[in-house]
Amino acid sequence: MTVRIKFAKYGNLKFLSHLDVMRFFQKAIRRAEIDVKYSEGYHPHQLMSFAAPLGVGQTSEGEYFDLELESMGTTDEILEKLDAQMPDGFKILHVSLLPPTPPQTRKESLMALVKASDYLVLYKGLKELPLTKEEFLCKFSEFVKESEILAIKTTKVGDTEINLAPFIYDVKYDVRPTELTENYDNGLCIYVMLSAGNENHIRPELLMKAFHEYLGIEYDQYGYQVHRLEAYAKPENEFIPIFKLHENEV
Amino acid sequence: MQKLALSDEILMNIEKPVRYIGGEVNSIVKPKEEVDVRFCMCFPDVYEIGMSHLGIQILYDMFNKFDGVWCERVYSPWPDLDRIMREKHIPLFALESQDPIKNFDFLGITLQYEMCYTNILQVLDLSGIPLLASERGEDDPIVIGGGPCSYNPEPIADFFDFFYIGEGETVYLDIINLYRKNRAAGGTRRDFLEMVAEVEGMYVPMFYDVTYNEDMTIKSFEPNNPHAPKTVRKQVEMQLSNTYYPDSPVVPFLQVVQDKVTLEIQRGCIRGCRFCQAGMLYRPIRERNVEFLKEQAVKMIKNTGHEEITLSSLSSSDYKALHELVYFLIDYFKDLKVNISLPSLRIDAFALDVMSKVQDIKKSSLTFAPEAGSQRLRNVINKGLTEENILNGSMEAFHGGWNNVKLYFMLGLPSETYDDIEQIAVLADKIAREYYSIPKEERNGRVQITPSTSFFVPKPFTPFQWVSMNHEEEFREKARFLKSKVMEQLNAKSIHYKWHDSDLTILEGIFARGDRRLSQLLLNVYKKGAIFDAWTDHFKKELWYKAMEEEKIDLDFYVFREREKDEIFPWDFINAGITKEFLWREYQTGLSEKVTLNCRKGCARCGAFEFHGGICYETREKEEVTNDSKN
Repeated sequence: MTVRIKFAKYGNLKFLSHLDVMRFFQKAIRRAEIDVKYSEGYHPHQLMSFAAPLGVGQTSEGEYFDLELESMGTTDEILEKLDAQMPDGFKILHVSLLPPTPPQTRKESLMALVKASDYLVLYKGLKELPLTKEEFLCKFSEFVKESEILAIKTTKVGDTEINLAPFIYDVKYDVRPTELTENYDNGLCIYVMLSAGNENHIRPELLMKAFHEYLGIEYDQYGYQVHRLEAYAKPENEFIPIFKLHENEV
Repeated sequence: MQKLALSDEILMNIEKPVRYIGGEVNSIVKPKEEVDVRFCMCFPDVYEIGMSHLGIQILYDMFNKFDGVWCERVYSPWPDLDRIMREKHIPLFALESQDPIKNFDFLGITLQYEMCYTNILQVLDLSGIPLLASERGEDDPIVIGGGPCSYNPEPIADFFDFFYIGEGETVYLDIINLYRKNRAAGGTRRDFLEMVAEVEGMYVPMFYDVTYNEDMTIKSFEPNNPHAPKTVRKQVEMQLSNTYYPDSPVVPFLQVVQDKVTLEIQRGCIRGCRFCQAGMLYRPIRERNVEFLKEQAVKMIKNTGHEEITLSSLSSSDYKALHELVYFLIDYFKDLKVNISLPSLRIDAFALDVMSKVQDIKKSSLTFAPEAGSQRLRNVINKGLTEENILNGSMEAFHGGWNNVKLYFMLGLPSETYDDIEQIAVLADKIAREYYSIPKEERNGRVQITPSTSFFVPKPFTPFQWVSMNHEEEFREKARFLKSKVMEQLNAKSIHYKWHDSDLTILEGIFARGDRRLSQLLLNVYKKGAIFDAWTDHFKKELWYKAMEEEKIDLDFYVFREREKDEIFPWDFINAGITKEFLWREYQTGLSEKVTLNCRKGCARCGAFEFHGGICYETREKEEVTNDSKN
């Protein structure tokens, strides 16, 4: 059986790399004495798979991994046991049991499910920016309406120029920071929903960098904090938060 | 959540920011209002090395069990952060509270190897603590040194307020209480150090004066303060099954060198190898109770979630209940998928059985440490391992499916000849020949023999503390010679000889047996920019040679000189439990190529008997019974 675990990564632990996060959970699962399934062989590892990795320095309350178990009680018990092992900076938010994979079908990977993510972009200070909060928001709303927003995406194979416009799914200006976001007193907070996953994964930094170029002001990659809110699948025509995917099936 | 000492921008611009954020599972944060003594424990190397050290974990746990004491950790900032901290004048901070170390009551620095000495200066400097103890004021932390290198603390004596000589479990609480008492009475830093000097095992360098002969050797080494004893006797914990041992060691987020639970099964060693400082310093051997270890293993795995447990000791095979312990661990942890590793295990039927249960034979290798190639030289160094042991062990392993053998040797041992060195190549070849004597169809592919050599550095408190060390050119010549001899062997293609370079060896040699005049050399080279000398990428040889020239350091005196029997050594003021007479006797026995029995087979009268326990009592009782029955 497989459970899908949703967690938050916040505060000082935003500096952990994806590899550190995986290692952390392997140990936390053992401390929680969850009856996890291991691979065969001399170097058995836990059968776990993560959704889209989060950039170092970003916080999130929309992280996921799937975990295969030998046995379990209720999902609530798993949530409680695992959350008890979380230091300040990690929190278990939701645990759901996945329906069994039908015979003869290949299990769909969590990574492949993710089609979009939404984020809060929180500016730390406005002192360095030559414009007011209102001007900033006004410019940003003009910017995201452009039909072509060009950016250079760096990948393993090389740099490619892409148009971001079709991959911006939503922008809002009235979303408030949550308990787990870092707060800055200027209150400048933008909500964006972007394409994510194995194809066309758009990091929010790419958008912000393009915006600064659009404004013609110097880009400071440490001038703002990115906080991921949720990861979404798109089983049909609608984006659904990953943890709600199988809500009515089990 | 603690506010971090470093800004996001700094943390995002350095390698592995997780080294500096603290907050690890099982790390301890105490409410400041309940704390009256702040202690910072330092391992002067990078986080991943420091976090792998058992001693710090033991002491961290112990200090935090003391009421009112909060012990935190600090490691050397990597050069990338070091640069930024200097530029921006950011004071070095402790991981847990992120508070500047300058505001602590104590800074305890563990001294595990000589090549971290410049990093001690880095830590003091970045903390804003005066480098020289004599220049520290009432508000500066008390700087303590401990660990193996404190058995010759003299080269770094000027930088420390005091050294804790011996095992940490015994009198730290007394010291903390003296500190409280002195503070309550409004006493000064000096008052406190005078109180410390009266505690057994504590060495306050500024309370001693050293004078020198014309030939640079020490003429006298005397206390200059009535509170300081003439001899400092090491602290020993005789109740190893009833003392501090962490149930819940700190679990790093980063992948560290030893990412596992370490179970120290015993302390000390019965073998008495004459080059080995640890084997002499930690006498008498004391075993931990096997039931204690089983319980501890279970708790530590449960509380850390580590996937591996390793048994730590100088010679695991000598632990009497080893079979019971290992089979218990294998059995108990089988379903929990906990891996068991056993370094320093003698290869025999038991070891092979255990290895076949816990390792992938195809990927693992056998390890032997003959240390010298010929039986003659092995007798000189008192290494009990014989060629027969090695060949039989290998053969048994080959039949079990192994085909990978690692061999460890030293070059530059006392009385070594080129014939002894050639024997290393011959021994490697003999092992390969054994392998190829197995019928082809029963063999598991090719055999791989990997002999490797390091260069011998004479250490204080060993029978070889008198001997001269080889010159760098001699070391290189010997390594080249061995390489050529390996090439001449029948199975040369199966033998892969590796050697460590000698760059650091000479420096290690200077500091291992150096005196307090070397503090100037360290200050000089540190000011030139030397840090992280133990790291090949950061070691700057030219800075060291320049500093040595400027400070007129005579290598012939410190390194390449055979010492006189009665010379006063810089470390002679320490009573480590082994007498100088015993060490000299062992040196002479070694030169006459005779072995000395291990502690279990007979007492060599080393001096450790005075600690009243451990192996000494078992052996002597036996001897006395035998003698009585003869009478």
